[in-house]
Amino acid sequence: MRGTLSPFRVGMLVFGGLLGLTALEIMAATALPRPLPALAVLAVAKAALILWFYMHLRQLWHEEEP
Amino acid sequence: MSAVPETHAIAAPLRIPRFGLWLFILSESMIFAALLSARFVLQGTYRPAELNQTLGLAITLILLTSSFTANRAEIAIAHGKTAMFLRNLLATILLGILFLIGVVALEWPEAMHFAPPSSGFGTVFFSLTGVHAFHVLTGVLVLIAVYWLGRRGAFGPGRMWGVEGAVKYWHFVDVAWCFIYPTLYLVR
Repeated sequence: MRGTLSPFRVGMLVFGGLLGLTALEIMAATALPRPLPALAVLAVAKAALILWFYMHLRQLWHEEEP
Repeated sequence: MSAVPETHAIAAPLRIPRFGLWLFILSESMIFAALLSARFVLQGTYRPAELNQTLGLAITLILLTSSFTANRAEIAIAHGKTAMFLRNLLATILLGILFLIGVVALEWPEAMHFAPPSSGFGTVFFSLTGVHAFHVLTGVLVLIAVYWLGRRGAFGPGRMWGVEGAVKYWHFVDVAWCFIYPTLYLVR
């Protein structure tokens, strides 16, 4: 993904993903009788997106510019 | 004066600061983990019906957008685009302030009526949002300092640790909210 897309575009796609996951959270909270497991998975997915793409977690192993 | 040659200090400048920042973020996340677990221990999945869902979603979207602009600011300065960097950093700061207004000036007075801090849910709600809002406040202050320095040309490609550190902290604040929002507003 990083090799073919500009960092600005990756940032935009991640933002879109975060909005989509937030929409799924709302849907899960309204549609499911016990939404806790689904909400936990969605929250972890959102956090993972931010950690990996916005916080550049892999810099801990590979030195790189954002 | 230092025994470490200056060239050596420049050769691997960011590995240790980055590791230190990640350790700091990890230690900070323990505070949120404790408060989040306290919510379920004390209140289970109980959620007052009066919680303002629209406002909760609005401040969530504001914080997510601020992470997007912070990311753009970081990339911009890495590519030497100072004007774009400053524009996006300013947007991040303003969104951070907007988030604070949403929580402290709008959400808290409302929540006082149906979940005062002396109640079970109120304790959880005000502890979580209060600690988080304090982190947002400190993040905004750090971003203002970075903006001030950025206007004076302190950052550019290869000399942007100040930006990177501040933006990483800002994203951490967003990560924390990714868990706080469903924990307070959505579980039932």
